[in-house]
Amino acid sequence: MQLLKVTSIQRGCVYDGRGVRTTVFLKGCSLHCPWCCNPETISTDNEIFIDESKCLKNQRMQGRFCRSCERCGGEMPITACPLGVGENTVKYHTPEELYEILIKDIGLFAQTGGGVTFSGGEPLLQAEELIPLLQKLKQENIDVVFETTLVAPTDALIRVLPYADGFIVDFKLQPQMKLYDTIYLRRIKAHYALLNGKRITNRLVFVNELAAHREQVVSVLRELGIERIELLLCHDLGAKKYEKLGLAHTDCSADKKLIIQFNNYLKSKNIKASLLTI
Amino acid sequence: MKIRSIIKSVIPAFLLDYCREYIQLSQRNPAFTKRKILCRGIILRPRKGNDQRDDFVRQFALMCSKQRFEVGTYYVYPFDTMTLRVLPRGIAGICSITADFGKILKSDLQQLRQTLCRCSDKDFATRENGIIESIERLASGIASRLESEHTERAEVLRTYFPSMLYRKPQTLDEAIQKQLFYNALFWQVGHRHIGLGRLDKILYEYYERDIRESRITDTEAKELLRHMILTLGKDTRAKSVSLIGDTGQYILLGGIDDDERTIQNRLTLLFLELFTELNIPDPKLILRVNSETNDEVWSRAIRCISTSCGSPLLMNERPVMENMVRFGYDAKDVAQVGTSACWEPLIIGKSFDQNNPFRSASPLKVLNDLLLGDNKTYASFEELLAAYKTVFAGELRSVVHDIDFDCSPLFTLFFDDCIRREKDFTQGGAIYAYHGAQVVGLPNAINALLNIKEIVFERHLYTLDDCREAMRRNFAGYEDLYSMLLATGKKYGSTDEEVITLTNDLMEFVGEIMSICMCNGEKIKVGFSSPAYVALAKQVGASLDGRKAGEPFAVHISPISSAIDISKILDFASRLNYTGNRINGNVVDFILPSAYVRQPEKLKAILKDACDKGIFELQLNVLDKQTLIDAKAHPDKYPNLIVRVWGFSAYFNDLPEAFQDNLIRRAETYATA
Ligand code: SF4
Ligand code: SF4
Repeated sequence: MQLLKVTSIQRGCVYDGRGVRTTVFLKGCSLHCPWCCNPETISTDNEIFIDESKCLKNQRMQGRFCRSCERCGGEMPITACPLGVGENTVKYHTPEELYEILIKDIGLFAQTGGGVTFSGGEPLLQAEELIPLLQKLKQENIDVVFETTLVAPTDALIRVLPYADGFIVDFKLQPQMKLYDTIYLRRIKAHYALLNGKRITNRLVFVNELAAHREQVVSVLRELGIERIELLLCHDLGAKKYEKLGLAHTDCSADKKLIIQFNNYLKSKNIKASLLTI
Repeated sequence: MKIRSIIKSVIPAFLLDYCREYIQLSQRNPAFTKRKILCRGIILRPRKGNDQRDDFVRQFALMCSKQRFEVGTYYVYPFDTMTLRVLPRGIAGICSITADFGKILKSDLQQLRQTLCRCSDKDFATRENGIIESIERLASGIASRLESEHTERAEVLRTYFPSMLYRKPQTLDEAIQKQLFYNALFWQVGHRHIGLGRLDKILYEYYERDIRESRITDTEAKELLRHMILTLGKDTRAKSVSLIGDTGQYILLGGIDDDERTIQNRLTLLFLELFTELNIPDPKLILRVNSETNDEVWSRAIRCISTSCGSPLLMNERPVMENMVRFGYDAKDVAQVGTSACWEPLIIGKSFDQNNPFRSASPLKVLNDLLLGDNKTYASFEELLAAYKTVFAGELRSVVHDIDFDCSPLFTLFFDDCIRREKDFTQGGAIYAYHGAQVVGLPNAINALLNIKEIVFERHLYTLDDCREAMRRNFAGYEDLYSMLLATGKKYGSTDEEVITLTNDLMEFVGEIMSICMCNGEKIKVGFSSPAYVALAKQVGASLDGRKAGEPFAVHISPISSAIDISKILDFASRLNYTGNRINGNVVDFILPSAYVRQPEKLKAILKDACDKGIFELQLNVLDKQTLIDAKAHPDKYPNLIVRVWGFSAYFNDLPEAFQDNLIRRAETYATA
């Protein structure tokens, strides 16, 4: 049985998309956006979150249980620390287990038009493993949305298409991503065309550097036939997580004034942009 | 303690009583100087040797002739906060009664007199007639004072005083005046926590007729209700029982009527709208919801909750009513379910249920006592649990006892069953007298037990003796254990089977023990919400849920861990078993981060879903930790910040520091959930 690699599951999400939703964060992504606020979802390896602030050793103390801890030369893996210093970033679930969690809110989904959102990471990278779960969800008529960059094998997208009701497409047009090359654009264009007929929300994380590339952004959006897009102000939400993963990171927090100007510029070019506040 | 006994031996008892009474008066009237209180205070003391009921009638008569009231206000509200009726020593006051104001509005004192003529117990009839005479005297006193007022409003009010005592109100305005008049009397005789009941149901016929006959417009009706609410809220301090705001004045909305149809009319919406606009803590709203509650009512309720005024508390009426019937209330009566001030169900117009007269039982204190008292080793968690249950049973039995309650010939007059039975309201007149007990801090006890199970018996990380020593030292030198208790695995509020099973097991156990306890010859109910989570916790030392000595217990059914969010706690609460006698109020209490307010439709869906799944009751604060911290530091910046406390709302600035800190701590915990 293929297991799904999940980093977390959030029930009762009210901010993202139609109705009340349960969001499943899947592990693995081929991009490395410097502002990624879920860095634990990028690698497919089981990294460990280490919360140094909880560890007694750092406070010059030793709990009785510390003696057997690997940090003190013992055998006990840090993930077994009773203070929760080490935490596996990945939880392996069978499709059945995940299904049981997801259908808890089936009443709520029906009432609000909500459903399940697969996010990540890049959820399409686990398309194959997702299929049995998607089948079960569709049997119950549960709304399914993918939050994706569309940077994934075409096959993967085709595999999930029959089960998906909607897509939140996260465009990577920021200059840091260096994806203005034709390969990215060609691939996105092809993949975007496949979404025809589905509910689509377009989204772009705004970083200050985008301001200088606004013409290019408009031309790409035009090329894709996009008339409406949500702009999300980049915040430094993931700082603590980078620290816990022992990874370096840069603060890409964007300027509110610039996003407003950018928003107005898009509007002046007949692209209906809206600011998404979380 | 010592000083107290010295004072007692030196100062005669009557002088002590005297001081106590004046202190009470000055607490009720903080705006008055001590001198003014001494000169103006009217204290009606009991007379020794008198039959308690006769003495009530005498005190009531004095009250009605001596009390001072204002007539220049929109409605006349004859509640004189400077007049105090004193109860005989050892007698407990009556609290949290909701009379059927629907019937009171239709009452006719003349007709009541005739009914009393037919009573076989002449003493009973004489007493009740005495009450009627006093009411009439007060009403004509008001009428003559109104004579000398030369305002348009006084002219209108003159048409109500005293005629309204002898007729069904002719307008909404008269209905409100009559309701306020009697409400004030109930307060004046010293009954506390007077509920208002189902005002959308009761007042609707008067509203509807006024509108139909074009006597008033909808806007004018709303204005009358606004006056009514403000009148009820003007004496908050004098009406408060412990903390300022704890008056128990609830207006009940929604819910089914005797014909099974759900009440949701224009007044339901108007009340919700008014509370959203007024944003005041007292009075408060309770909304009975069921699957028929319509979308508009839900939406307005969510809007009201979003203002953070703490109203309305939601009562999921189906499970509440079903369990009440199972307990022993008549199926015909439960459609008129109301609450005792906060959340404990009772029957409006039929209950003398005193739902909070005992000390709350504290499962955590008992666990601490067991662990620290016996130094025993236990072979297994099951053995420890069994020993715990034995001592817990003792605690439960010890809280329940018989109580001598005050009487109320005044309530007697307006409770049909009392007149039919010719008995005083508290002496067999009211048909229900199922009093209630409460358990406080069960979440803490559950967490402590789960921790012991995992740390001591499963992972063998610490011995029970280590834990005991850590408790004795308030975790000093045991910081590692302390952090672990907070961090470790399973916690109250999670839907993990083990947590739910243990919680239900203990709740059932509580129910079982309580089912053999009686108060004044009647069986009792028990609930898992209690106002004592700060006061009682002060006396309880460090505990194995990761709580330091004196820190507050969890509030009602609420998580004490940041890993548990609103979805989880609602799921958890809907899987608890409230059957048997476990009906004395079971409130989920949660502090929502304000982000939810921006998505009212979705919040509505989450709450509706929780009701479908079977929660009992729910109250919400919508607060950010930052606001609370700032408000504590700069009270003058937040004069109107309202928060929900145990079952009532209050201005944050009026709360004692322990309550302020507890709210801040909880807002922080839930924000990360
Ligand atoms: S067990 Fe290890 S990780 Fe945990 S507190 Fe001790 S040293 Fe730190
Ligand atoms: S695409 Fe999304 S998940 Fe992947 S690195 Fe970028 S922000 Fe993170």
